[in-house]
Formats: sequence, C-alpha cells, structure tokens
Amino acid sequence: MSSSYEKEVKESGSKESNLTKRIDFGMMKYLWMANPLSRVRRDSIPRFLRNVELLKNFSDNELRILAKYMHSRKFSESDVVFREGEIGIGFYFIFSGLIELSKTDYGNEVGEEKFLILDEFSYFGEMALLQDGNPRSATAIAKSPCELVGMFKPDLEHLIEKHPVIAAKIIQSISLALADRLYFLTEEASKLSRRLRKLERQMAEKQVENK
Amino acid sequence: MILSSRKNIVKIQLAFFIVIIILFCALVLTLPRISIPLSLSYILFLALNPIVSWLMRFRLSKTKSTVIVFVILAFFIGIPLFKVIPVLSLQTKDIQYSLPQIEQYIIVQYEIVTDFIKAKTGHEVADGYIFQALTQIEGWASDFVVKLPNYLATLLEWIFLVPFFTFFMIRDADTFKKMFLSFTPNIIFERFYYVMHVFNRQLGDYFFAKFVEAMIVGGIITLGLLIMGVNNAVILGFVAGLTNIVPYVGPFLGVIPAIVLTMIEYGLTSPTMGAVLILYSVANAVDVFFVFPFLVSKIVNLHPMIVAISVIVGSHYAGITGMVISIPVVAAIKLIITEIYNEIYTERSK
Repeated sequence: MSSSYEKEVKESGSKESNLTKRIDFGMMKYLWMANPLSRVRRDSIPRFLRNVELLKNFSDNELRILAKYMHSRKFSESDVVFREGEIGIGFYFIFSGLIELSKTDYGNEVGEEKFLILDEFSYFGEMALLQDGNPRSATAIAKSPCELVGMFKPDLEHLIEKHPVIAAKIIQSISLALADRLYFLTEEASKLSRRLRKLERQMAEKQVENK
Repeated sequence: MILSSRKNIVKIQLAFFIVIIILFCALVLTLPRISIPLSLSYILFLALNPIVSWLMRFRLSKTKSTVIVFVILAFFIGIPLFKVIPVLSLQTKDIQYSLPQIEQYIIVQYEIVTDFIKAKTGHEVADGYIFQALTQIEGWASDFVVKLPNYLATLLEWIFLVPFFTFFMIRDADTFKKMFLSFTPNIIFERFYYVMHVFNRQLGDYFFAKFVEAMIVGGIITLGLLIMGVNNAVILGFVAGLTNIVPYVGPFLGVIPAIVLTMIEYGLTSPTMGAVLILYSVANAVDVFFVFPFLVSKIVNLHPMIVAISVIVGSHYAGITGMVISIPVVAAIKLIITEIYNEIYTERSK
C-alpha cells in the first residue's frame, strides 16, 4: 500500500486488473479532487507538490499540511525574484512559468553568465533554508509570468514546532538533494584538478624540451 | 496610462502596502479603547502560543488546543477574579463610610501633636498644609468612588474583549499572517517577512519568559502566605505575579496591597507584617538572582538605563499597559534598527 493514493492510482491505472463492482469511496474522492473544474486553491498546491521530485517521500496528508506553511507568490515577466548577494531566507518551487538563474562574472571575462533556465516542478534557492544569513549565490529572474510557491525560514521554524516529523522530512529531502549536488561537484572538482595537473605537467615537459 | 509601465505597478504596490500599514498604526494609536485590549490580548497570544504549539504536537487540532489552554487559564484567573470583585466592592463601601472617621482621627491626633509641641517649645505649627492635604485626599477618594462604576465597566469590557481577541488571534494567527503577506510587494517580501518573524519571536519569547517568571513569583508568594495563614493569599499572590511583569517598579507595586491588607488585619508592627515583608523580599530575590538571569536577560539585551527610560516613557503614554509593553517594543525597535544598520553599513561579500 503506497502512502499516496494519487501515486497508487497512477501506478495501478495502467494495469486495469482489479476493477471491483463495489463503490470505491477513495476513488470517488480522488476523482472529485482531480476534477478539472474544481478550482479550489487549497487542493491545487498539495496536488502540485505531489509531482515535485524532491518531495516524493511525503504522504498526501503531509503534503496537505506542508502546503499550509507555504506562500504562493506571483511574478510578472522580468521581475526579479531575488538578487545575487541579497540575504536569502527561503526557497521556491515553480508552480507555473519559467525562471532564469544567472551569476555575475566578477573576473569580467564573459559578463553576466546565464547558466540555467528552470520550468514547472523544479525548485531553486534551497540553500538559503539551511544557511544562516548567507547571501544568495545567483540572481533569479522571471522569464515569463510566473507563479511560485515559496517556503521560508520562519515557516520552517513553525513547522519544527508544530509538525516535527514533516519538518525533519523536508530537511532530509533538501539535504539529500544538496548532498547529491555536493558529490557531483566534488567529482567535477577532482576531475578538473586532475586535468589541471596534467596540463601543468605537459607545460613543464614542453618547457624542458624547449630548453 | 500610469498602469501601463511595469515599474509603476511595482511602485503602486509598495505605496498601497505602506498606506495600509500607516492606516492600521493610526487606527491603533487614535482608538485607545480598542488598542489597549488589543495589545493586552496580543501579549496573551504571544505568551500562550508556545503552549498551543506544544499541544498541537499531540495531533490535536488548533481549535481544540486553544480551547484546552483557555479552559485551564479561565480556571486559574476566574477563581481569584470571582473572589476579588465582591471583596473590592465591599471594601470600597467600607472606605466610603470610614473615610470621615479616619479624617476625624487624623485631625484629633494632629491637634494633640501641635498642642504637645506648643507646650514643649512654645511654637505654633501652621496647620494649613494638613487641611489642604486632607481635602486633596478626600477629593481623590470621592473622585475614585464616583468613577468606580466607570472603571468597573471598562474592566468588564476588557474581561470580555481580551479573551475574545486572544482566542481568535491564537486560532487564526496563521490565516491573518498569510493574508497580510499575500499583498506584501515582491521586492520587500523576504526581508519584511524575516523582520516580522524575528520581531514576533523576540516579543513572544519575552512575554513567555515573563509569564513563567510571574507564575514562579506568584506561586512562591501564594504558597508562603497560605502557610502563614494570611487571608486573601491567592489574590495577593496573583497580584504580585501580575505586577512582576512590569520591570523594576512592579515588585514594589505588588507589595503595596499586601502591606495594606496585613496592616488592616494585624497592625503595622505585628510579627506577621515582618514575615510578609521577608516573604516578598525572598520571592523577589529568587526572581532577581535565579529566574531573571536565566530566563529573561538572555532574550532582552538592553542597558538598564534604557530599560528605565523606556518604562517611564511607556507609562507616560499608555499607563500600566505601556509599562508592560515598553521593554519588548524597545527591544524590537533595537532589532529593526540593527537590521537596517547591517543592511546599510555592512559590505557585501562580492
């Protein structure tokens, strides 16, 4: 039995195996909630969160509670969500629209570096939730009219006080994502340093040959 | 035309937001009849919110946990209150009747003393001052008695309004906060939310600590008076705990009713009087040396001089409520100034 009914339905939907004749209230409830005509905001955020990869180990009820601690924010095209160097206090999921992340290049080699464009169901700024008063490492700008769902440090504090289990889960999820990224970066860094060493050695050999 | 530019919309959002905040502040400042119970219930909300949060960990709904806290609190506050009101009305009647007697008594005593001085030294003491003082006191007392129904009406209004406001503040705080944040402009959202949160947390920690401190002091005094067998022990302990919330001046305010009641009952030079005074000193010593350093001082890191000044300014503008609110408000203002200072003066790491 999966903790998420929606996930369960998704998984069993393709099999078409055990269709019983009894009225399935859970199914009816799901169909009612999934009704495209129902525009209840309260349901739409948890439903959105269900599809976020980061929150895959949350149950439906946990997502419902989590959604209460999040803030829906609307941004117009070319609005700045946050700037590099500002003190950040939270992170955002993209409910709809496109967000561009960029980083100023202080070596003045390529100017402003646009390195990532994010779309629905992705998230950004998650480091701010774990850091204490550190500046943002990139600038986020809306590339189209956007709706973001944000979670901030005060929310996390309230969550820790009132629903410690959910708070632990969200911190675990973010930590996992960050650990993955750290692992990837360490690999990259060691690859680069190896290549750097190789180049240095080649240069040294060339210099010796030239002499 | 104005709305066509994106930049203008941002400016309009910001202006709208600031106007709403200013309107709200103006409303609170110009209507003390609402703002005083509102601020009292806000203090109660801050002090009780941690308890409600704690109860919610046991999978209780917010409404249920709020109701539980309220029932317990009503029990602890209601009983002394029901005891206090009849006693208070009885004693004001008493004072009304005994005031002329006391006056007569003082005049007679005064005449005896002046006669005594005249007989010993031959000087006549001028008696203008004493009669002036007496008329003054009489005026105050009768004024107080005449206005008493007014005070009681205000008190009753508060007794109804404060729990009412507090209940809904605790239950719907998150909804209010979300609504308020939903029209905070994007450019200042994160910073504003953070400052608001730190402000609330600081105030909340302060009042929660004060609440615990008041309970400890009130508890010690109630227990001591009960052991000594002094009448009205519960009321006196309750008053002592309540006045303890006001820094510096509070403990002295709290001891006055105890002195008066003991004096009426046992006389000024009785051993009970001494015991009561020692009990109050011990309770306050415990507070000053053990409770305050561990609980309160870590939260509010203000210079004693600033504390004294803010209490005076607070009492000047809003009476006792002002004295209670002044310290955390000053602490919060300090916090906001520090935040802005850091924003302006600290170099960004680039």
